[in-house]
Amino acid sequence: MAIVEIRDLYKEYRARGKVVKALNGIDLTIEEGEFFGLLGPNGAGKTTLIQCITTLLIPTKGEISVCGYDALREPSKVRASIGCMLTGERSIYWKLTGRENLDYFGALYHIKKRRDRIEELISMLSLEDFIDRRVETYSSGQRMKVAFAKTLIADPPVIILDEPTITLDVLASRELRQAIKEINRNGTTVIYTTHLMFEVEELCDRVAIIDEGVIKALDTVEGLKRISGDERRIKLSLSDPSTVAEALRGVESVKEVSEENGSVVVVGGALDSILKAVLSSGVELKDIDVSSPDLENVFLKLTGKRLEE
Amino acid sequence: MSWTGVMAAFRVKIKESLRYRGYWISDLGFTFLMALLPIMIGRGGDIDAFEALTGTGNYYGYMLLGACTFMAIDAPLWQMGNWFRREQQIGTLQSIYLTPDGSMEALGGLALFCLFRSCIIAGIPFATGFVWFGLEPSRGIILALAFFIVGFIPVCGLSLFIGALVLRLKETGALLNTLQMSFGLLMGMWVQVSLFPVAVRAVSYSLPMTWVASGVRASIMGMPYLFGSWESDFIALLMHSIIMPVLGAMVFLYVEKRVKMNSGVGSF
Repeated sequence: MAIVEIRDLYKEYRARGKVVKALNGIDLTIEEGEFFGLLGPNGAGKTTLIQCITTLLIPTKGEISVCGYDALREPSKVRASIGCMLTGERSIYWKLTGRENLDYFGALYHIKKRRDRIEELISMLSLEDFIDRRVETYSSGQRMKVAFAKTLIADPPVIILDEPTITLDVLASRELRQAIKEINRNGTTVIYTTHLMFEVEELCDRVAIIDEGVIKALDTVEGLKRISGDERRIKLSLSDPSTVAEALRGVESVKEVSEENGSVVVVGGALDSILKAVLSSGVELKDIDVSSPDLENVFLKLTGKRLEE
Repeated sequence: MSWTGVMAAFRVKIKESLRYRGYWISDLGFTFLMALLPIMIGRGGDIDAFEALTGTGNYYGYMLLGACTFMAIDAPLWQMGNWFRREQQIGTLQSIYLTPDGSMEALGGLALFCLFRSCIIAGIPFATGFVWFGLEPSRGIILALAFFIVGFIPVCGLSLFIGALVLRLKETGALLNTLQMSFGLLMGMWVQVSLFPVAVRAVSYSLPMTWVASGVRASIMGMPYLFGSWESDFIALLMHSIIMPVLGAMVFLYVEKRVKMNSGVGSF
């Protein structure tokens, strides 16, 4: 069942006298329980799209519905259905403790049993050690955890996270991704924007690649990789590359065989067939490196630019 | 919109104010200064001339009440206007706008906080001044309080204009400072409004603070009311209480919608 539906969405605004076309006709359906990724470089329109979904922005044209509520006609109900983390650690009050922040936002979301919900979140996200200290004394990771807890305070059916790991170190980033995965496993729909491809590959069921306000492609990670047309590459370090290269050219579905500095690079073909051919040639296999096509190539192919640009 | 949200926003403001060192002390000190400056400057002046101009010979009381009313009624305007800017800058405005009715509840809590703050920062200097200068209220404190409390409603309405201005223009510090002192003058903090030229007086009468300041002074010090009796002044203030919040809300919601149609409330 569709939980977020976006039809023919346009957003233009004026900045320093110029008209900026942030979204150029977005059509999108996100299913209930899905982990949906929005992948794109800075300025692609990801945040604008999220701000339209959460009613922070009024679109120039188009329709958005969340949990069956129309974003233009029933904005309060849409907001009540979404937990959103946009500005990360700056989305909470630093002069308050983590618990006071959760209590305040719980009240603004009209949560009846706030204390119980706060205790549940403290336990779920392991906030016990710092929740009663003022946020200004927290590390960046601790602030993000509390900001994430604030996102979950109303136990919403949809959560939207805008580059939540961008300021975190590796460990804190991993912990947060684990927590998000757990929430999704429990049935919450997650919309996740990032420009980090490994996050998309690790987390997302489906991904939309967005650039210049347009969705360039929308598929599963594997489906997107197929778009690039690239195949798996196997690099074999061998004692006699020439002999093996010749043998591999006859293996079924192998598309390309080349020799590089004492190694043979094979594109396409089934891994077991390639290994059989190497072993039966009697040549010593010193090392093997298998690399899959990545989303960076897909992105480059679709947009003509790299994600970090 | 829920009362729970309003009260939560009120509690947050109280906690925040207590955690900024010197917040209350400096606010209280400022009110004392606002009263003491004109008092010290005007000491030894011609009381008869002052009485002829204002209708009271109680110069100390006049200035003290003017300063306290200014701080109690005029200052919340800027508190509420600046709230948007501050929340934008620290990054929490979007968080509030992401909640179902958060912006209205947060504003409600802020209005309550401003009322509480006004009672403290005006009440203490007011009581101190009365004891210090040996002043005697000739009429009712209760009527003065009624002017003050009722006057708070249109001031909150007017503050929505300021909020709209801040949302629209963003960088408004200098403009707000100028407006603040202009409002102080126009509401008759230092000079009786009746002495203004007709056009300026008309502007003064359109500000709810003018009616509060005049009503409080007249009730306590036995000065003439702007329209001759407390009943007519009170009705004028009640009219402000009805019109100003409605107008303020209309303007604010219009500007808020325009901002959302452009680049949004969170950007600065």
